[in-house]
Amino acid sequence: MLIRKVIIAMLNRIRKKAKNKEKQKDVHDFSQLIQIMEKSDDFKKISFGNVQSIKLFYYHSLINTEKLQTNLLPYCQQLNIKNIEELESILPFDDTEITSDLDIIEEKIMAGFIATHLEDDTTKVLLIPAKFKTDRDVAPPEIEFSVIGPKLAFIEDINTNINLIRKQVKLPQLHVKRLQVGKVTKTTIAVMYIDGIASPDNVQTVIQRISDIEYDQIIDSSFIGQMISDNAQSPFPQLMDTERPDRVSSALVEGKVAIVCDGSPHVLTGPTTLVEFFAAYEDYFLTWPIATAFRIIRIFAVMFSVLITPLYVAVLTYHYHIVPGDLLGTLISSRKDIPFPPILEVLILELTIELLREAGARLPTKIGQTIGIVGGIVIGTAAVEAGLTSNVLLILVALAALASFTTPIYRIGNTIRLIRFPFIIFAQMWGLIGVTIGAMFLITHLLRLTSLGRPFTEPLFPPRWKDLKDAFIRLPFDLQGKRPIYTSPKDPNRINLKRTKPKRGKRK
Amino acid sequence: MNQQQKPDISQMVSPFLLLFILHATQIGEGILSFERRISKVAGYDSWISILLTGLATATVIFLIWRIVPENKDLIDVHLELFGKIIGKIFSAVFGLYCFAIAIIVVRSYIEIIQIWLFPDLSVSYFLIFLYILILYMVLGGFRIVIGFAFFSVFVTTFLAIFKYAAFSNGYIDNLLPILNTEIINIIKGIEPMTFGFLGIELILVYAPFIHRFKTGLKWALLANGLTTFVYLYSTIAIFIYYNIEQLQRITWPSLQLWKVIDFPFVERFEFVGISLHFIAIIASAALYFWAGTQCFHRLTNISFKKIAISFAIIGVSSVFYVTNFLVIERVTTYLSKIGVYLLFGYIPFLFIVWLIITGVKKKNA
Repeated sequence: MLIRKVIIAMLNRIRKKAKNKEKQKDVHDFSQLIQIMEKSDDFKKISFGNVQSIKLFYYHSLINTEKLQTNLLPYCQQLNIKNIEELESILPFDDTEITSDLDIIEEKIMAGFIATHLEDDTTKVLLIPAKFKTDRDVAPPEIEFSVIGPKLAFIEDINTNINLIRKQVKLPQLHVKRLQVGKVTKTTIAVMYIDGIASPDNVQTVIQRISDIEYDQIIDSSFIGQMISDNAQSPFPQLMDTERPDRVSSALVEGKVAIVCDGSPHVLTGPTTLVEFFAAYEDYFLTWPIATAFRIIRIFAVMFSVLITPLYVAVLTYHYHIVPGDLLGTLISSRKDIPFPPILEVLILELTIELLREAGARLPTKIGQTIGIVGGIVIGTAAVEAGLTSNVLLILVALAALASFTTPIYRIGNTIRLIRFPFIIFAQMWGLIGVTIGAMFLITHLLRLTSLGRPFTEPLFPPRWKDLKDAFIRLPFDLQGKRPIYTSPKDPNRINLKRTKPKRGKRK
Repeated sequence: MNQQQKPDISQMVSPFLLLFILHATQIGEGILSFERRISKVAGYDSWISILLTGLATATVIFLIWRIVPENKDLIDVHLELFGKIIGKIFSAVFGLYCFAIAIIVVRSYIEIIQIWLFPDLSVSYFLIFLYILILYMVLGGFRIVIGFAFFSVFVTTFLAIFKYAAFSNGYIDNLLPILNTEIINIIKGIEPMTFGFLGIELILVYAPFIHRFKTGLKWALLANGLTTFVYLYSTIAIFIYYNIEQLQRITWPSLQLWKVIDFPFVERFEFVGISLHFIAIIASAALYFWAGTQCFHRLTNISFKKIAISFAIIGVSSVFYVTNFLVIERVTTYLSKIGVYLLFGYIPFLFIVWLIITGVKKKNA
């Protein structure tokens, strides 16, 4: 039923698209296109030449004028250009194209190309690339920083990003499929995968879902991420987004599909699973016992972060018998002057911390730091001294906030901070039982999620023991001989075990 | 949801998971109180009854694997053996039985919550949330229900560890001498024990959802063995800790046992235990609920969602007709009896009918 609905929806979309295309054909020839474009003041028309007048059309704001002056104009002054092919052959540009297709011409002019044609022949238009590069340099990652390992992060330019990936995966089988999405923004999307490793199903799903997108603007890859994820209503991200080229390359080698979006320094990879969001790429740069320990610490941090304040509410509101006598003394002495019930106390402090985080994120870096100090230290101490909140809770809330920042992927950190609130409400309603009910809702929700149609809670459920090698623990590389099952790779083997040799010169 | 009629590939699970499904359905509310029920009949020797029950239920599992062909379920079997009308009536009764168990399991656990945690809990309000949860699970399809049951097994295993308190505080001599009770009483002990093993009958409904169903027999038997072991372990722990007269006066021996456990940060472990065990309860209730819905869905062709929602409403309104502890105890006893007849009466009966009919068909062919 659901599948049928999806198919019908897709068919409708395709039909609509076909209709739209018919409608858009109000530009019939080149001169009409120029008429539309020249209404904009930054559009330039130049014509010169003796034998044949050469006409140039371009957006002044899109092209590199230096290129125009040094590489194009001197050649155009030559007198004996008879046809456009001749002009093309003498120009020192590599990506030129002669076409009469209006769609291509329009697209290229909008992408920083110069359109050229000779006086009497508007059917053949020469397109010369002269893009004005405005992109920043490749910089070290800021969100997913790692102490060890490569210090490269994606930037806003799609070609640079693809270049960064290709530099690491030197294989002709690394395919890039370009798509254009967004009726107004006409954003270029590149779907990348390694042919022969990635499952064709996944590639097909991604390409189909992206080309089915019907929206006017795609500004960032997160637009795509929200539109093509299986359950857009969920607070959980169902596609991994990362700014690290090494992480993307490694995902590609594992048989995943990467989605690079022009104008976005974040690349999406999928299918993904819940546990992957708690794996930093730095885990692979450290020896496996250390990496495993850090991963487990991270997972405990997340559980702590979600559960500690709900448990505080549950225990102090209903089940103070649980707390042993000595500990209860500490709790009581810190709470004896507090006029509020635990739930209010917790909500106030949690919201304060969220406020601080949000203010810190919105403000310029320097002011943000000040706010952090003012908020964190001054307000915290003052609130405790004024008797509005207890010391113990302040510690717990601060620890919980800290713990939520240990997740390597920023997006899941947001989710973790959000899902704490329903837990707090459940805890207020039914104490520990309420926390359990909240946990059951969460587990069910996670079980219902899929990433590109693959179960999100894998390898826990459906249990695939072999994939546990890189979930909570990261086993050494010699035990990582197989690619993960959930990507259902065409070639499941990473290494040929027959060819592995024992280390030489190793002392017994 | 039409695809629920016959499962599609995305709802099917591997036969290995039978280990978890079966174990999760069997371990439910029973494990908290069964020691009292069986020791009433068979005294300190009732652990032998558990072994016998384990053997008997293993036989029943074996019979189920003979009766149900690949990609068929109870409804198909009923149709084949009894014809359209009688077969449908039987299937409907089975569906109602599943719902009854789902409702009573949830309701009786609420009783525990009321007695131990919240004496003035608003049951109707609480039930609404629980049935929303169960609906959320069940409407996600079989896989979600199974996934939840899978996780619940880890919770019950974790809780089982805490019976260690009995071994460090109890008297091992309690168990001796062995075979002090009459053998007939030990056999009678099978009847109250069977309630703890119920869940096997659901295989009849979810059989077509298992990949290569026929190969799943070993996992089902293993699950049954695991359940037997858990009950045995639990009984021995409780018998070591309590004497038989005391045991008769304690409704939930396991919960009382948890009271002695204390950690530097948790003094009354039973609160934590009751909260965590709730996961196991919901897991088995959701499976029964799913099975009941699936039965009626297969019978009537009404959409899965509608049936599930209407039965959830009936479940919530159980607050009106299951009003107090006595009713719950009575209904539980009845259902337990029905379960015994179902496992040891009806399924062998089905098997015999199946033998006769396939025999006749072979002759005719």
